[in-house]
Formats: sequence, structure tokens, C-alpha cells
Amino acid sequence: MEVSEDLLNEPILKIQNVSKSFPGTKALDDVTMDLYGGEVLGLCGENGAGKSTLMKIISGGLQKDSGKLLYKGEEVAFSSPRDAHLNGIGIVHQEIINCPELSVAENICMSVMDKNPKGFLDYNWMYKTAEEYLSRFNVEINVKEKLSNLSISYQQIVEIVKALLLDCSVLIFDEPTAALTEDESEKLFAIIDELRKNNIGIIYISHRLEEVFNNCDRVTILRDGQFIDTLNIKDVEVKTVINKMIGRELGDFYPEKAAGSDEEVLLSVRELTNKPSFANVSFDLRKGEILGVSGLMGSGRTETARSICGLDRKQTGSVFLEGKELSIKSYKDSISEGIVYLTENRKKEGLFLEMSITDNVSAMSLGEMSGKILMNKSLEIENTDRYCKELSVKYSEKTDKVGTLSGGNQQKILIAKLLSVSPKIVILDEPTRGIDVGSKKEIYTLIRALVDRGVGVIVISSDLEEIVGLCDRVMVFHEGTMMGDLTDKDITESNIMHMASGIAKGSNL
Amino acid sequence: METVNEIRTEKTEAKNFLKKLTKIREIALIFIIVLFSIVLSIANPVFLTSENILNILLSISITGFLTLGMTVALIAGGFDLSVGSVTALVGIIAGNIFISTENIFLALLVSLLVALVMGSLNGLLITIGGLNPFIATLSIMGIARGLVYIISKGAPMSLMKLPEWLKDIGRGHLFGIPYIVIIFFIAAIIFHILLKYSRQMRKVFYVGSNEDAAYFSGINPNKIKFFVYLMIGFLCWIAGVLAIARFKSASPTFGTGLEMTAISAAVIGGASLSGGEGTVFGSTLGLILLGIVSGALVLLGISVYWQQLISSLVLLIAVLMDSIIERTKANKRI
Repeated sequence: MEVSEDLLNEPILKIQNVSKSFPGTKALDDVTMDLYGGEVLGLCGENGAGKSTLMKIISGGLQKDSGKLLYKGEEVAFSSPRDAHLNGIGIVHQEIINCPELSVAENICMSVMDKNPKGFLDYNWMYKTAEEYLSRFNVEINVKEKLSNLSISYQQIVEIVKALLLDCSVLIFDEPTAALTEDESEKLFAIIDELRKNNIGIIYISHRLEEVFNNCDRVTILRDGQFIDTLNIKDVEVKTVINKMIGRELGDFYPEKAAGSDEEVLLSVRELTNKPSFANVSFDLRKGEILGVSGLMGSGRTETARSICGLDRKQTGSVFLEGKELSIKSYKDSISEGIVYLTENRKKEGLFLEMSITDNVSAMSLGEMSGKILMNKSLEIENTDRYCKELSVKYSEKTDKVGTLSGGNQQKILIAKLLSVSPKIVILDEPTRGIDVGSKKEIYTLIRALVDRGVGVIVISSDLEEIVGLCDRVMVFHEGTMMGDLTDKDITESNIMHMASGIAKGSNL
Repeated sequence: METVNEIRTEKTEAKNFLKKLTKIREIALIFIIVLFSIVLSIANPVFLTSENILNILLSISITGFLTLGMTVALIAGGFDLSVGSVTALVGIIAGNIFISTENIFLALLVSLLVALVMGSLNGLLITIGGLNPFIATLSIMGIARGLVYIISKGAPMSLMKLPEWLKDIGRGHLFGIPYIVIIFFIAAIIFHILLKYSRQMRKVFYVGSNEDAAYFSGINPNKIKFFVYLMIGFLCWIAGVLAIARFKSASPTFGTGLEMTAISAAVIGGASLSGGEGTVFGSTLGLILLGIVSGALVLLGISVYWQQLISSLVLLIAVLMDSIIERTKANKRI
């Protein structure tokens, strides 16, 4: 009797003491958790908590360094996503991964081609199968249409249907509703419910806690690559989950906050609009304060910054620097006015990986570093030395390729590049993403030093802890609009989260 | 407070080795050229005569201008297949106008404009048109060659009546060295310095290394790319003019395949097809090596039909070596 009970309650997937390191960071540290058949397990944690890494290990996209993965009672290690598929573990990725030039049906049937009874491609069979599965969503999608002609939300549905086709025992959803409308999300939850009844184990990752609470049975929380807790949704409050996601001693990791900002306004933005990314954004940046900008990805925070700097076009609105209205037509104009932007995408938009440290630092200040025609090498080296010293960049020679430096040092090189033009306003987008704790602290210290010197600093970040610890004032974006300001004691992670998800509004509106 | 920057010394040795690997390119090329020369002079003592060496240098000098342009295009992350055809077009147009008007200045001016138009077209197609450099310059290559055949009706034209000063450029010597060779090497030195030290050329490196990052540093990548292809048009004009001065004729088939020679030379010399890398010194050495190889075939009495095969083998070996060195570097990092 006891034996059969145990068998019934045996988890379909057991993750035991799994660890995974990347150069410079420990992404997963001794994580142990279980997934049962017929349950929906929510997986929560901040950015960088290790959720995606863990899911990639389960679904064969990455290999673990140590620990065990027990699937249906047997130890497994999937060598590739295909290997995981064949064993019944599927994943719906956060980023849509597909073949935009192929038809909807071809995309849906991609991983089940060999289930086709005939050896050749059987289009009728593919169309029929695709239609059958799509009908579960009640959406009108022509299966012969080229995928790239579909809206993002329909593409996401195709991605989900693709995974449903696999006959999985374990199905992972990584932020599946990010691109869906409310209506479509509801249909997805109905399907998830159906899958649950069919005894399939489901892991559901979402930043939207509301969804987790409405649809999951249990929730597992990760933080900094470590397992924190697994709780029954019935017995837990949202607040508890948030606290467990973020709970961390701040200590004096962050420099002391400003005693109080001047009334002097450095930068003002009025009614800035670039639809559909954001609309009617207005704010002031005062001397002596670090202004934080928070919001979910795609909420318009990065797009706003890019429009201010002339990196993206703006439709309407105006920008004033020290009371003077600017007419910025390109990023070059913005740089010469003294407004610079640190990209959130360090490798893609920031660094010249194959070029030297000096070349990278000078890239923005070529005018200052040269005579009429030729570059002034000694000036370049002097400038690089100065900022590398101020930012404590560690390197062996200035001729080293930037690609050989660690993430933290690379980020400092990018900041040195901005500082080389002696900017008045510095907009930092995710200034500490993916870098080590030591470099983080040094960057925080530098930001405070800049502000004390009279430079205006705006920090955009998904890292709530950073926003709370560092900033004197915080603006929150939600779906392209400003939800208002938070100051002093009101700057808390839960206040920001509530505003970012559109539930609450701040002051100054 | 944090202490002042501590420079890590333990890694210096490994880094120095990596740096040597990147510098080894030019040294290795010089070594190979010297080795080749020794072997060839043993096989045929004529090889080391100054006459033969100058012949080889003369044979590469006109292609040299195209190689200079190609090096910059490769650094910018593109390339230009149209250089050979545009050079031929310059010769045919200049020749045609000179024959009908006997005004050499008009001929030079119009051919210059045509070369700049061709360069601009490449630039516009690649930047505003958003075309891949391969497709854009392949089309212009065909269009330029097509114009050559239409204007010349397929027949080479003799230009014996060219003014003496132009003929002098083509056949004159200074201390026994042909003017054309001198002009090329002066141009190469100027380009080498500009590529290494000028602000404008530095922007070309940024754009070729990472176009997005260049944009995010306030550089307009399209402007830089347009400038590169326009400049190549100008270099084609110089090559075209030097060619009619040297041969005193303009041939519709001139320059066929020179784009490939130029790309090969630049790649052998260390330019990367993925952009951001390359030096004029390296490209010139690559071109000299290719020149020696084809010169050697003549001296050794091997049929000229072997030339293409052997030049291609030289290119293949060079890039294979590269790929192997890159991979060992990458392995070390992991």
C-alpha cells in the first residue's frame, strides 16, 4: 500500500544539486527542485536568478557542470534540444525562434517531420495537423501563410503549438504571454489546464505574478542562482513571493544617497512621443540626483532614452538642456550637446571586440583626440590612462583587444568612452548587467561621484535592487507611459513592481 | 576607497605571445617572399636580376591601386567586385574622348567623373539601397564592363598619339625604377599612414569592426561606407590612367579578374572578410607574393595556364593557416 502511494507521488522530474558556471559568474548553485506530473509549477526570480539557465539545462540547450537530473526515475543528460524532445521534454522559448520564410504549417511541423507516415514531405498532412492544433486557440491563421507575415502574438501562438505537437510529458513555458493579448493568454491558460489534466508536468516562468497565482499549483523561487523555496500557491501571498525573490542585505554596497537635490534642472523632457513605443513622456532631471528609470522590458524606458539622444526618431515632444531647447537630429548632435547614452547591449552595440582598449575608449571622442587629419596617439593614450585609472580597469596592455577582458572591465571601457567627451548628461542603460559584484560597486561609486561633480545621471535598470539602492528618485514605465515618480522612503521594490505592472501609480502625475 | 589600478603582470607573457601572433603575419610574408626568391634564384639565376625584380614590381603596380582600395573596403566590412571593370571603363572612355577630341584633359576629367559616379553608385546601393556589397558591386561590375563593350564595340583602341608627358609616366624611369612603380609605392606609403593614423580611416575600422557600436559612438556608418566606395572609384581612375599611359592602348578586356587578385592579396596580407582588420603593408606584401608566383612560372618555363591554379593555392594556404591559428587561439581561451 505504502509502496504504490510512493510511486504515485514520484516526481516526473527531479533536479538534484545542479550547478552551472559561466566565465565570471555562477549561474546555478546547487539547485534542487521537483516537478510532478499533472501540476503547473511556477518559476519565479529576478533577471539573472538562473531561471533560463536551469530551463536550458533541462531541455538540452546547455550542459550542467554537476548534479543530477532524474526524469521518470532515471538519470538523464540531454545532449541537445532534439534529444530532450525525443524523450518528451519540450520548451516554448521566450524569444521566438523560427523560420520566418517558411509557412506556418512548415514551422509547426518542423520537429515532427519524421512522424509523417510517408518518406516525402506530405503537405496535406502538415496543413491538416497544423490546422487541427491551431483550432484549439480559436484563431484564424492561414497555415499556408508565410510566418513572417504574422503578427508577433500569432507567431508566439505558432511557437506554442509547435511545442504542443511534441507529445511531451514535461513542457516548459518561458514568458509565453509576453507577446500575447489578454484574450489569447486566456486561451493559453485553458490549454495549460487541459495539459495538466492529461498528467503533463508544466513549468511556467513569468514575471507577471498575477498569472502565476491564477494558474500555478506551486511556485519555486530562485535568487542569484540558488534555490530559495517552493511554496503552495494556496497558502502564500504575493508579498511573500516578492520578498523571497528580492530579499537580500543591501549593506553599504551602494554609496550614500544625496542629502537633497538642488532645484536646478539640468535636463527636461516634455511630451516626448514615439508611438507605439512610448507616448507623452515628461520629466525633469535635477542637479545632484541620480534618477532611476524602471519598468518591464518593452515598457518604453530604453526607447525613450534613445529618442532623447537622437538614436531613434521622435514623433513629437521637446528636450531642454539647462533651459535651452535642443534640436537633436542624430546621435552626433546629442554627443556635441553633451548627452550620451550607454547601451544595454554591451557586445552588440557597445564594444569593438577585435579592437584595442585605446581604440574603444576613443571611439566617441575622435574629434578631441586628433588634429586636422591624423589622430594624436599620445593624447589618446593619456586619455585612456586617465579613465582606466579612475574606473580601476584591469588589463595588461592598452593594445589588448577588448574582447579578452572580463565583462566588468568591458563595461568600464564603455563608460570610459562616454566620459571621454566630458558629457553633461549620462544615460546609463543596464549599467551593471552581467558583471561581477566588485565592478558593480565600483560603477555605483563612480555614478555617485559623477553626480557630485554636477553631471546629470539617469540609470535605467531591470535590477530593482540596484534601482532602490542607488537612486534618489525613480520613474516607472508601464506599457509606454509614465506611471509617476517615487522618492525617498517610497522607493521600494514592491512599490516599483506594482507600478511597473500597472496596478499602482506614483506621485507627480 | 579602492586602491589605484593594479596592473596584472602574470598574464603579460601569454598576451605578448598573442600579440606576436597577430604581428607575425607581415614577418611571415616577408620570410616566405625571401624564401621563394632564394629557391627561384637557385632554379634560375635570372630571377634575382634587377630587371626581373622591376618587371615583377611593374606588373603589380597598377593592380596595386585596386588592392589599396580593396583593403579599405574589406576593413569597412565589404568588398568591391567592380574595380577591374571600372578601371577598364576609365581607359576606354578616356581613350575614346582623346581620339575624337584630342583633348587629353577633357578625357581625363570625364573619365574621372565616370569613375566617381561608379564608386558613388556602389556606395548608394550598399547604404541607401541596403544591398549586400556582393550583389551591389557585382551588378556595377557587369554594368561597367557592359558599357566598356558598348563604347568600344569590343575592339581595343590604340593610343599612340597620347601626349608625351603621359607616355613618359608610362615608360619613364628614375634611377632605373619605373615611374609607375614609384607612384604606387608612394601611394601605398601614404595609405598605410592614413589607415593607421588618420581620423577618417579610424572610423572605417570602427564601422567594419562593429557597425552598431559605431552608430552608438556617434559615427554615421552609411556616410563612412559611401566615402569608402567613392574613394575606390578614384583609385580605379588612377589605375585606369596609368594603364593607358603604360600600354598606350585601351583594351575592353583589361582588368578582367583583377578584383579577385586584389581580394586575394589583401586577404593574404591579413585583411578579414568580416571587417575591421587589414593593413596596406600586409596587402602589398600579399600582392608582391602573388606577383612573384606568376613571374616565377614564366621563368621556370611553366605554362601560363597554371597561373590561376597556383595563385589560388597560395590564397587557400594563407587563409587555412589563418583559420588554424585563430582556432588554436580560441581553444586556449577556453
